[in-house]
Amino acid sequence: MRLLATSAVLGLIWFGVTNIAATLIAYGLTRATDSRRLSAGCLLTLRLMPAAVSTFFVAALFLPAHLRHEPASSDESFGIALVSAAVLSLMLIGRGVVRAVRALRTDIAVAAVMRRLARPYGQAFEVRGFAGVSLAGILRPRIFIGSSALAALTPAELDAAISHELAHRRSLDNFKRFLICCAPDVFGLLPIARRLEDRWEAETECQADARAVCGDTSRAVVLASALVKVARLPRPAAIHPAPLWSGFHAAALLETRVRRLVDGQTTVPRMGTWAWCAVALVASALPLAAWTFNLTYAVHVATEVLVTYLP
Amino acid sequence: MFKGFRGSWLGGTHDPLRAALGRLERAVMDTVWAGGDFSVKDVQAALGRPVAYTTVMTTLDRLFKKGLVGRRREGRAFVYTAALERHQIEAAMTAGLLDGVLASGPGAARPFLSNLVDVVGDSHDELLEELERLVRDKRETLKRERRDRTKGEPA
Repeated sequence: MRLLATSAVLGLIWFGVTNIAATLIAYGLTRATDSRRLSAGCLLTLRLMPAAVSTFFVAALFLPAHLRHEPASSDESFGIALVSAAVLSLMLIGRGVVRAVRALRTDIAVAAVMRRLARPYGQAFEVRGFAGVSLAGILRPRIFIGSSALAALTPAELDAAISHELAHRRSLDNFKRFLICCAPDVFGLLPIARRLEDRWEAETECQADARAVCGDTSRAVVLASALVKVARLPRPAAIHPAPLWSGFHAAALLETRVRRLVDGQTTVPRMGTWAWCAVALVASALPLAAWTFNLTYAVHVATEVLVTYLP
Repeated sequence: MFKGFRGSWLGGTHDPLRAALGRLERAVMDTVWAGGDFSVKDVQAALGRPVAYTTVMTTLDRLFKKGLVGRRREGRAFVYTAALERHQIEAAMTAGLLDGVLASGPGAARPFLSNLVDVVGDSHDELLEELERLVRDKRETLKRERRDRTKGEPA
């Protein structure tokens, strides 16, 4: 029992320590690539890296190492720095859980409201009083079209708009958004993470545009026209999604997307070969390192060092 | 006006008015939406089922207080007209509902909502006009190119 309790506290400590370290790396990489156009996949990897690294380290390395090498009778005490790291981790995980629960509850409530209000319209649903065209939902995303958008768009524009939302659905963009929202990391508390999220948002929109037009120039112009028309639609004052992104960001993104569509620049950057090679290298290096250097023992020794030398 | 309707909205059919208005209220609204001015007697006659005069009067008064009908005095009685069209009420209710659901903060919808395009404020009118012009020009160019290509093809 005591071993389990120490494992939990040490796990939280490692979670905090690796989270801060990964946040520093993510911060550096985000700043270094600030002016470069990266693929949506790269941006998402960068954004989720701190949470993923710390979760992986604790679950796949620390816990097996601790349970294997730590004697059951060990009696460890923790200093202020370690306790602070554990509290930080607990707060980060708690924040993530609260956000996840809140998002899922809102998702279920909105789905219920939409079920009541929406009328089936092909692959989508028509909703009165809902402005624009949206893909809503984490678990079962559905496409909702406001009746004002339905009235404003031509059949071709509507088809392009629905294709755009279908592209979002195929790429699980709403689920990725959910992961970003709930990621338990220090990185998410920094303003630079918001900028990275905006960049990812912009890339996913361009990617969905590209998939919706399939390289067809006239379809690209049709989608551009739909974007401008929907951006012009008056929105009921009470609808909230409006302030999710600042007006400036929305305007700048709209301009970029329309210009790209009109100029026929609908190709989007993909995760390069070097990025896939790096991922493959890390994935193959870990089991190799575990086998060669007895990684679990190394992690156990590192834990002992951490407990002994940190105040 | 529609904030009180939020709670009872989860699940059910596609008619948004069902959860917000009672059966008689909906029947009265349907009558008023048919157009024109209606006295209590007119509404009572149009309902097509026996309802007491005072019940219709109370219902109309309740709808007036909710802002769904307007009224003016003609002689000793009130004459009622629809203050809002059906689609306006549905729109306002949807807005109120979503507002209620998403009231937990501006970020509440972010995890699960992806919009085709986000709100572009009125301050960006010039930009929208420029983008419209761009689209129009490109359309013209494409049309011209298509015409030229058709002309160039052998008959």
